Amino acid sequence: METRFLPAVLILPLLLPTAAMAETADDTSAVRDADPESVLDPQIERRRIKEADIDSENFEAGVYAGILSIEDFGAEPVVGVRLDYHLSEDVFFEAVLGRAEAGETSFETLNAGVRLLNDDEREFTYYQASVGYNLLPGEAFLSGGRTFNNALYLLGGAGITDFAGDEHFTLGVGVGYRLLVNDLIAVRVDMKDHIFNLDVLGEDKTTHNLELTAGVSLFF
Amino acid sequence: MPGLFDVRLKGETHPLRLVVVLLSMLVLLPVKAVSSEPSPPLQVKVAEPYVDIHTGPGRGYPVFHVVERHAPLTLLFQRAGWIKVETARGRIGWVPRKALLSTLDGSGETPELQNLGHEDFTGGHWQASVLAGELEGVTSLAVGLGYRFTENLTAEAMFTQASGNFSNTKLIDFNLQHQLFPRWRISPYTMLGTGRASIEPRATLVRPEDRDETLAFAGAGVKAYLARGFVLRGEYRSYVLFTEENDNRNLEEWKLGFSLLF
Repeated sequence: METRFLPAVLILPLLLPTAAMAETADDTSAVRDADPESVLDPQIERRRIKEADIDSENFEAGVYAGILSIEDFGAEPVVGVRLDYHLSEDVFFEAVLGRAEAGETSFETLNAGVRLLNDDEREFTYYQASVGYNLLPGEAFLSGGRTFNNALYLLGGAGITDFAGDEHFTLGVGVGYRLLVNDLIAVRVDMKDHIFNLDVLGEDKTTHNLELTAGVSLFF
Repeated sequence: MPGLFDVRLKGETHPLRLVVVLLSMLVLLPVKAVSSEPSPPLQVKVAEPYVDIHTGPGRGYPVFHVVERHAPLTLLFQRAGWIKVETARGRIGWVPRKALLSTLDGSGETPELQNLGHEDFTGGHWQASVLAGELEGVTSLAVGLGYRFTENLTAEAMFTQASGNFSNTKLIDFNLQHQLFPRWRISPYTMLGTGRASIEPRATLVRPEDRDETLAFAGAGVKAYLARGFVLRGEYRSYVLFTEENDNRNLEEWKLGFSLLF
């Protein structure tokens, strides 16, 4: 059910108006029409301007969907929401809330009737706060006239995972890619490892739960 | 006794409903952005010999245009320390926020930069915090949202969770922080707060009842302003839990984390 949303999420930004693209089209005529006088002696409104008056768009909110491989419990669809704050061109902060449903361990599959966890305990919910670092910002070229700002970033953070009837302190590390479709909309692909200790299978062991997601987010 | 997050996570709301809500936000937000457009554009004049215009919001993006002295710049919006601008000839690009210092506004003055930190206080701002720490020997995680409304005073609401082997403690509190020397880069503060604590014992054989109690606390800490809008923060809190038995309990907590100012 959840996976059916993935294509919809990816197609959506393409359907929305891409206003920022228009700027390149009328460049040449603007240069030709410009009156030198008006450029040298501009009439600007007499008013005091503070930096705080400028509309700031440092927040990014979005949804994502993908696959979460829950160690011993199979790879399952995951959906989540995220909120980011972009502090500088290098650093951003992110809070995420995601949810998946764990499948069966091979032990349960082989031994029909054996259930290690009930349905409630199989719900895998995580919330996490991370710091992101834009490692490789740059421009991507779709065709001659279209450029998109993009970045490859690293993510590291901590949070809590609610799984198997217990809450686990979790470390999250990941790498991701962000492509800005226009000033407002970004498409993201993230790969993340959720690391926590789990003792469901008899002994306390460190589990690695790899997550691959794609999402779309909005700046505001 | 379900805590704050349980209500939201364990209720009937299916995760898909979250997706639907956010998708509808995607559709509604651009409309709002368009409808709020007719406010007059913010314009400044370049006061230095020239200002470089970059193709993107970052030092690595190439300079593709130069705006000379006296030419106007329209300020479109700001993101992550960069301002998107439009030149008189309709060129659109990005300048660092510090470029405002090379311009003059309509009243002939340099635009005032917004200070988020230990410099002069130029107006109230928000403070979002994430802290990790130790509450009675158990690792705790906390998130908070505060508002600094004077140079010295910040009010904050915070949610703390500590998951130990014997119990799972959740605290919700509201506190007031007073910065003693707000203009110091490393700035000490004191705090007073009150809230609720919910303690779920973790036991497999007997199932003791969850406890929900009122608390009050006092604390002290240090904020270190590392970069614009970014603060490293450490604090100590001493809680008093008003239990139903006639016997108040004391808890101690250390926290270390960061705050974002915006």
